[in-house]
Amino acid sequence: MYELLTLPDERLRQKSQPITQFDKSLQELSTVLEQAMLDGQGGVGIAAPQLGIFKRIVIVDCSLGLHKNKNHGRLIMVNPEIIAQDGEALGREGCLSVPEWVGTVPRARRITVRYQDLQGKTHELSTKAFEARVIQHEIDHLDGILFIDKVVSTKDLIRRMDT
Amino acid sequence: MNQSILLSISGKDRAGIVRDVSEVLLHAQANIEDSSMTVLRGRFTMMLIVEVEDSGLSSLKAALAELEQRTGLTVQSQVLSEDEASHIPDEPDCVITVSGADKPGIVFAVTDVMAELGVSVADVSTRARGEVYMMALEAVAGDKLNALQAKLADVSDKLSVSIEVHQLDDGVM
Repeated sequence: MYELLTLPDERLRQKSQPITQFDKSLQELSTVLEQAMLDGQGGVGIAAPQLGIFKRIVIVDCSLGLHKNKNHGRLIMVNPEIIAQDGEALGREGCLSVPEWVGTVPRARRITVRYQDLQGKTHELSTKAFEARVIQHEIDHLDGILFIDKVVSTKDLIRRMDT
Repeated sequence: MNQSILLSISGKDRAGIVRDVSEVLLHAQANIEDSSMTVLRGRFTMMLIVEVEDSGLSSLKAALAELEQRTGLTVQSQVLSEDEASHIPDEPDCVITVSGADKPGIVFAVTDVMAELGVSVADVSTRARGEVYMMALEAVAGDKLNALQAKLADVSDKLSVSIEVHQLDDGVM
């Protein structure tokens, strides 16, 4: 079992630590995360700190999205970091840890992310649009950042157009 | 029973308007539910839905009249029907941004094609600064998105303003 942290739980703001041991307990953590993601209504991603586990691992699966989108299926990413990004796209985000809230968030349209798998092998993945958005959202969790920190209003959008 | 009341309040901008209004509402035991408050040029404007018990309605009205007198704010109030008060609007699924040289009819041209398609506006902000006009709208387009994009491309040509439609692919993460 697990406990899903929700706002205003301050632990969501904690920074997560890199994973150095690629052992059975990491496999188990991944299984718990997967289950929590599947339990969440419409969930397409989850990060370990959402369960109060402050380790740098996220799971993303955009094939579970409500709308059809191009994606790489289930991605289990250990120590993920975005190494390249460009463009900007607006999307509407919600979060299992911020129930009942959605907001418009600007994100990079295309990203390249470097991560390790459960065996510790390094991968690089380039993706765009919805999947790129979800990965950015989940990596933010590892640094204690929530989408509500980045929500823009129509007023903000005008300000941004001006610059 | 509770009543929901829409308050429209505005006044010359200064520090303390939200404080003054919320203080009166607190004393009248009116709860601020949904609200939108913003400064437009030198005028601060507020729209709030407040909830108050039936028995508190008349003292709320008296308190708001006193607020008007004391602060010079303009206050209007409307009691909402139960339907209106409980309606949660659809979440927008696209954002439309418009920018270009200021000229009459930009807002009309854009919203005219939206209305023709039955696309509902959820939120709009506009800003005119010198020669430049900018607008950002959130809308609920549903399956009309492609038709809307095509029609807005025509508007963009006709008015020589740039119009972008951003589709909001949403998800829970």
